[in-house]
Amino acid sequence: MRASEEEGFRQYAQARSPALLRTAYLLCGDWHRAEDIVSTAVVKLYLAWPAMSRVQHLDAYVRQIVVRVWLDERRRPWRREHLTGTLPFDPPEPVEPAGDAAARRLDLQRVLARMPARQRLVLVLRYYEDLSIEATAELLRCSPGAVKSLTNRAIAAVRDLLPAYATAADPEGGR
Amino acid sequence: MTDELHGALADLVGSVPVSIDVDRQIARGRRRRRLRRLTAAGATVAAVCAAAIAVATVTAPAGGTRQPAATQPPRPAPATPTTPAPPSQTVRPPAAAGHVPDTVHRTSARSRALLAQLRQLAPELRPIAGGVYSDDERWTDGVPHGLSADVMWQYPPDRIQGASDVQIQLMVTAGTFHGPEVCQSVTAPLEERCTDVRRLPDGSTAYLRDVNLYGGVPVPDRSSGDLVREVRLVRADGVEVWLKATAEGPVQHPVPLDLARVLQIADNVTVFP
Repeated sequence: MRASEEEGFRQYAQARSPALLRTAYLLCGDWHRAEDIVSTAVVKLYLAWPAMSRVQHLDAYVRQIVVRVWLDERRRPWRREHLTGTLPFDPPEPVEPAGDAAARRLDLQRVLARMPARQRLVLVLRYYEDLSIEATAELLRCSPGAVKSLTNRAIAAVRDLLPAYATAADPEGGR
Repeated sequence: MTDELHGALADLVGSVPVSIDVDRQIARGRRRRRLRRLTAAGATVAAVCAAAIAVATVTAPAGGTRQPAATQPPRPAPATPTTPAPPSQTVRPPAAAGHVPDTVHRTSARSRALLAQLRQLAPELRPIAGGVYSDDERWTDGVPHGLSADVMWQYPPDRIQGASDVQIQLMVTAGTFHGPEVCQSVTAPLEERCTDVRRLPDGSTAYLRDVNLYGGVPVPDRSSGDLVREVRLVRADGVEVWLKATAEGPVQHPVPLDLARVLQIADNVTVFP
C-alpha cells in the first residue's frame, strides 16, 4: 500500500471508529468486546483498502464488516458467557417503567441483553443506524419479509419488557 | 415510538469510553499481509516439491521395494493440544508491558483430527441435513492454546447469515488455557449451578449443566431462551474437554444430544497430553 493510501486509511479509520464502536457496543453490550470487534474490522478493512476505491458505499461496507465480525465472534466457542449479577434472572416479569434517565438506560440495556441476537441486530440496524428494511435485508442477506418479522418481534419484546415504550403503535417500525 | 427508540439507543451508548489505536491495527494488518505472502510462497514451494516427488516416483525404475497398501481405513489422529508443531508465523518474545496479545484462529491438522473424532463419536449428527462443520486452533502470540470443532445448523437455512439455531461445539484445552467454566457445583447460586457434578472412574471430574439461558444468564423457566446442555470434563492430567449442545431460542428445533450423550462423547474424546 502506498503512503498516501495508508494516510487516507488512517484518517478514515480514525474518523469512523467512534461510530463503529457505538454500533458494536449496542450489538454486544460490552465496550471492551466492542473494541475487539472494531479492531478486527479495522484490520480487515486495512487489508482490503486498496480495492476500496471501487466500493460505492464505503460506510455501509464497513458496517457490514463490523456486523460479520460480531456474528463470527459470537459463534466462537472461546466466547465465554460472562455470568454477572447485573443482569436479571426473571425475564417473564415486565421491567417497571424507569423513573429517570439512568434507570431507563439500564432497563433498555437489560432488554437488549435478553433479546435473541438476530432481533437485537435488526433493532440496532433499523432504529439506531436508521437503515431501511431493504438495506437491512441486503446487509443480512435475507428477505425484506424476514427483516419485518424480526423487527416486529424485537419491538414486541421491547414493549413487553418496557411498558414505557408501548405508548405508540408502530408494528413495522415505521420506516 | 420509532424516534423514541432511536433516541433511547443513542442515549444508551452516550460517550465512547474506549478508542481504537489505528496505528496498532495498521501494524497488525501489515503483519497479517506478510503472513499471507509467506503462506502463499510456502504453499507454492510445497506444491513444487510435491510435484517433483510425484514425478520422481512415477519415473523411478520398476522392481523397487514398494510399500504394501494400507489394509485398514485411515483413522483420525488424536487431538494433541500440548504438543504442537511450531506455527508458521514467528514466535514472539515474552509479552512486554502494555503488549496486546495477537490471537489467531485457523484450521490445523490437530483441529481437523478433533473434528474427525466428533464425527466419529457422534454418528447421530450425520443424518441431520444442512450441518456446517468447522474446526480451528487458537494461537496467541504464536503459542497454541486449544483446539475446537463444531457443527451448526440454521433453521430455516440461509435465512440470516451467521445466525445459528442449533450448534454442537467441542473444545480441548490444556496447560494454562481453559475453556468456559460452565458451572461450580449443584448447590451454587443459579447462575453458577450445575445440574450434576460427577467423578468418573479415570479420575476426571465432569461439570454438567442442562439449562435455559436468557441473555447468557440461566433462568428457571425452561420454555424460553436458549437451551444449553454442556459439560466441562477436567481430566486428571489437567486436560479439559468441553462439549456444548445448544439450540437458540425461542427453541424450534430439538438439541440432537441429551446430557448423558454430551458427557459420553466428551469422555470418549481421545487426547494425548
